This record gives sequence, C-alpha cells and structure tokens, in this order.
Amino acid sequence: MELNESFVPIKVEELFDTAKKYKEQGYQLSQMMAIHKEDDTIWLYYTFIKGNEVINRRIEGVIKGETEIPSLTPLFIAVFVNENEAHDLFGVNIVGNLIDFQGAFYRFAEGVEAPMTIVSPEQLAAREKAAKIAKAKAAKAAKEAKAAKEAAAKDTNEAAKEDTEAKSAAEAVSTEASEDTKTKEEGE
Amino acid sequence: MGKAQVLPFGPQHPVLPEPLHLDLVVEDETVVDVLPQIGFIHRGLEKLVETRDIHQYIYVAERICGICAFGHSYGYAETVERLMDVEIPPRAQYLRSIMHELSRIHSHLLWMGLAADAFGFESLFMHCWRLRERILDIFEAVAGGRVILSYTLIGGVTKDIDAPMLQAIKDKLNSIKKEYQEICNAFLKDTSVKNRLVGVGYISPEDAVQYGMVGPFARASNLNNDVRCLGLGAYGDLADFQPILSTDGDCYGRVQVRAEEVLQSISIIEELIDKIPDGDFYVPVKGAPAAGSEACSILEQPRGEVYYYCSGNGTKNLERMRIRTPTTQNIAGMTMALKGCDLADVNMIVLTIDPCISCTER
Amino acid sequence: MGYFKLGKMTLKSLFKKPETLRYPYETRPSVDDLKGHIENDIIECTLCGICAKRCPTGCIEVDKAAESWTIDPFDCIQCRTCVRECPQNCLTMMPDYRKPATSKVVSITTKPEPTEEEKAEMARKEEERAARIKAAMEAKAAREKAKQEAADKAE
Repeated sequence: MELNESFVPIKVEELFDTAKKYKEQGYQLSQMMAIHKEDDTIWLYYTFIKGNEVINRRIEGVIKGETEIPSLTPLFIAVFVNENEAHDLFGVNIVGNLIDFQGAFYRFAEGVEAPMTIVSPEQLAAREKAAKIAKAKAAKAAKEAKAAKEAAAKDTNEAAKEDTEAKSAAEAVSTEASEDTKTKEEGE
Repeated sequence: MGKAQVLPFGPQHPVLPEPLHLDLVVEDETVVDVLPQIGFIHRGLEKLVETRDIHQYIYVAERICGICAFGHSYGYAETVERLMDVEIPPRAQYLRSIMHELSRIHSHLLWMGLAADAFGFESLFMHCWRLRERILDIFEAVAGGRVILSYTLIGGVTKDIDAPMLQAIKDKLNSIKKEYQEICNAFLKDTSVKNRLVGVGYISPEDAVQYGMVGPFARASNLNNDVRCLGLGAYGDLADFQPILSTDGDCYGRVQVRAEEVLQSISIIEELIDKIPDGDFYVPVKGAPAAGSEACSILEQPRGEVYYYCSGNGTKNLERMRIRTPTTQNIAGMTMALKGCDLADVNMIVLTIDPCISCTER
Repeated sequence: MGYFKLGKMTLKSLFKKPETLRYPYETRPSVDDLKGHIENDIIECTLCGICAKRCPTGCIEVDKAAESWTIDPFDCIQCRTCVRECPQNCLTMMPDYRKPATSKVVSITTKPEPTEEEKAEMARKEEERAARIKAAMEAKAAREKAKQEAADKAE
C-alpha cells in the first residue's frame, strides 16, 4: 500500500471547525509544526492521519506574536507539547492552550527569543548564493533565446554567413556552459 | 484525606534513563494531578538542517536518540527520497527493514531490562541486557558500530549483507529466541511480576483514542495503530502481519505487547531474509531538492508512529525538517494514566510508556 | 502462574563462563568492518580536499600549500563518508579504536620530503614535458606556415 499524502492550505478561522470534522471522521491529529519562511512569516502545518491517509493542512502567513491561532488541545490533548513548542521556539501566538506553560516549556539563554526564527549567517549566505545562481541561470537562458532568435533572423538573409555565425555562437554557449559548471562546482 | 502537596519527580531519578520532570500533586499516597515538564536537553537538531546538506544530515538524524538511531536515519532518508522522487532498489528496502526490526528487538530488550529493574527484579534485568548484547554484536558485524550504525544512505544503504552473513544472523536469532522464551516466560507468568503490574495505570480503549496515544502504549489498550499494517516498503511483502494487541490496558498489558513483539520481530526478520531479492543496494542520489517541494512519511518505530516532514528550497540544504516522535504524542496519555495511581506506582507507569526524551526534544 | 520462573536460567548461569570480560586485561576480538579510526595513505593522496568537503563534522583539513592532511580524531564520528568519497581510495577505516587520551590533539600527516632520486625523476619529467610542449608548438607553427603557403599558391 502507498502512503497517500496531501498538502492543502486552510484559513485560520476554519481551523477549529475543520479539525472537529476530522475528529468526527476518525482522524487523529498526528502533529502540529511551524516553518519559518524566507519572508519572515510563519506557516503552521497540522497533520491528520487515518490509516494511510496523511492530510497536511497549512496556515500560511502567520505573523510572529500577532496572528491569534486557536489551540486544538480541547479536541486533541496530545498536541499541547507541539503548541508549546511552536510558542516558545517560533513565537506563535496560540490562544486557549489547556496545558499552557506561558513560554516556560523551553528555557533559553538571556535575551534569546524564538530561536528557530533567527536566520543564521550561513543560511543567509546560502540563500544569497542560491539567488545568484538562479539569476545567472535566468540570464543564460535569456541570452540563449536571443542568440537563437538572431540566428533564425539571419537564416533568411545570408545563407553563406550563417555557418560561421552559428559556429561562433555554439562556441560562446559552450564556454558559458563550462563557466556555469565551474560556478556550480564552487557552489558545492 | 490529607492535605494536597506537590512532590517533584525527576529530572534526576533512579528509574528515569532520561530527564523528565513531573510535578506530582499528592494527597496522602495518591496522585491527584500531574504536570509534566520537559526541555532539559533540547539541542536544536531541527535547526541544524540549515547548515548541513541532505547527505550530512543523516548522521545528525541518527544522533537524535541512541536507541532509535537506525530508525531515525531510515525515516529521514525515506522522506528525502520521497522529496526527490528517488526509487530505491528493493534489496535496500529489505536490508533497511531487517536492520529496523533488529533495532526494535534491541530497543524492546533494553526497555524490558529497565522495567525489570524498576519493579525490582535485578536478575531479569541482567538477562535482558545480556541478550541485547547479542543484537549489538550483529550490528557490529554488519555496520561496524554497536549503537550508532551510520548504515543508511540517501538512496540505499552503505553496504550489502551477503548470504552467509544473513544466514549467520538467522542462526544467531534462533539461539536468542530459545533463551528469550525463558525470559518472556518469567515476564508474563511469574506471580511476583504480575503482582506488581496487573491493574496499574489502566487506560481504556476510548481514552487511548481520546489522548492520541501511539505505539505499544496504545496497542496495550486494544487500539491498533501499527504503521507496519499499511505495508509500506518491504513490509508489504510479508505473508501475514497481525499487530499484537492486548485488551488489558494496564502496565501488564504494555509489558505483554512489547514482550510478544520481540518474537514477532524475529519471525519478520526470518521471513525477510528468506524473501530478500538480489540486486543493487544503493542508487546514487545527485542534485538538490527543488524549491517549494515537500514530502512527509510515517514509520513505526519501537516506541510508535513517527512522522517526518522535509521541505526543500532549491539548495543542497533542506528548508525545514521535522520529526514528531512517539513520546511527544504519549506524554498526554502518560499524564492521564498517572492520575489516581499510588505514589509507589509512578515510576512503573512512567516507564511503561517507554519515554524517550531525547527524541522528544531533538 | 508460579514463582521462580527464571530459576532455571539463573541456575544455569551459575555454571557458565561469565558474560563479561575483565576489560583492561582482556579485550574483545574486533570484527573486520569495525569503525575504529581513519588513516590516510599520504603517498597516494592527491590532496584534492573532497574528504574535507563531504565530512559532516568538518574534522578534516587539507592544506595544499603545506602538503598536509589533518584530522581531529575527537571530532571524527567514524561515519565512513570520507572513505566512500575518496577518488584515490587512499583513506582506510582501521578496525581498532584509538587509545584514550588525556588531552585533545589533532593528527597531521604530511607528504614526505622527496628523496634525491625522486627529485631528479621529477626534474627529468618536467624537462621532458617542456620539450614535448616545445616540439608541439614548432610542429603547429610549421603546419600553419604550410597552410598559408598553400593558400598563397592557390591565389
């Protein structure tokens, strides 16, 4: 049998009622987690499992410490660990947790708050590098498209000249390609 | 009725292998309320996924917990393979399942030893751990390590187990089985053990559903949530898989489920060894997961169902990696089981959920 | 039901050899594939640095200028990644554990200083290479000249 996974977005207002519906259908809330996205918002994932059905419902664009998220502990008490974790490590504002530690579930060093939302310098560097590579790739694709267009245009004009032109274009592409692989290697 | 007072239990306690703190509200000798507290050994391993690439993180995943070390590397690798749409060869799946079942035996034997120690049966404890050493010897011969195996790779396993070695594993398991049956007999039939366990920390099947319990803890309350029943990977080729359930719902039921699961695991390994297909045991996995891709998977570990989630962002590092371990899910159930029990039974009940705090606090 | 269910096993172990070893005096025989420690055959090593790049703990350092290969045995987790990734197959996992130490040290392997003979050999190879390059250049120039002449003639 295969695992049947799905990822479906959901609105904050609908969360509690949807969870209730899942509970009536015999699903179990397996876990709740938070992801810190690049644009500094937080996405929350709720996973409901029944047999081989794994349904992940996500709330997008939660703002740290502001957006009020209803607690699901009245329905599934076991999720209190995850909700405390999301509150302490990500700063998610969860309302109505039945076993609420008020931020004392994990204890951090002085001055640290929501440590999972801190972007480390390595991560920042990696992101910049990824953006750079993506940009270079896009530029290369544009260049190639342009070269192809030019070649096509010349095709109608001079048949004799075309041969040498295409050759030089191919050379340029191949040197570019080698450069590209070089940057990739460096990236690794 | 005496006055209610709060009694701290843990994080350092002879019966606890790992730091868990409980505030027990007791009246005379009866526990009326419990507040669990973890967070003593949080290491931020989920954050570490940002600085280790997908292949390197496997060794981090393995170090989440010493007892489920193989299981975590297996689950993590499986999720990344799902993320990158990699089909691993069937032989690798079989090898992984064999190692996973071996680690289940090793985990259950370790737990049974701890339980015997908790109810004061020292010689039973020693015999359980003596048998566990045999499993560790198998690990050592196969993977070169006793606890941390570093056996899984993304795309397969590090090395093949050849036919003579598989036969040797089978023979060794057979010799273990004989001795184990004697130990099992002592666990399940001895009156002194029964006196200590029967009726302690009862949880009804309805409550088991309500508290979202997983693993042997739930199966002792007749709630079947064994992920192996779904037949994922090599488990799908088993001729017949019946989860072990107990209707007792008390500490005795939990001991019984785990004790019988060891025998079940031995027969699963024997069947898998008989059926193992030939072929590759590794396919190289190149490249990085695409941006915005996400995948999850579930796995039955010795302590219960584990949920893994991975999402990629186009670089060789994952964006997020999440493990929801069985103990996280079982803490609520444990708290409920503790309410109304005798103070002297607290250690027994805490132990029968097989708490793995390192798993819970990645 | 009944008591002393473990009695048989307990009695048997009275007459059996003990399961434990008197450790410092006796040791367990190590298996072939035991992950003990990493050793580098520096003669074969090309100092490419792939092992340092792939290492999950970053315990290997390769210095091309000083021709040295350094491993911090206290950081190494014996995962065998470097052994698997090495293109020269010069890294080996030795099946014995390192001795316990009282202070943290790193183990440095340096390329041996070449002997006189090796130096002479290297110099000879270098000369040969230079000569080959020179010959090739000359041949190329001659070819081009011939081509040019042929073209001129045709005109």
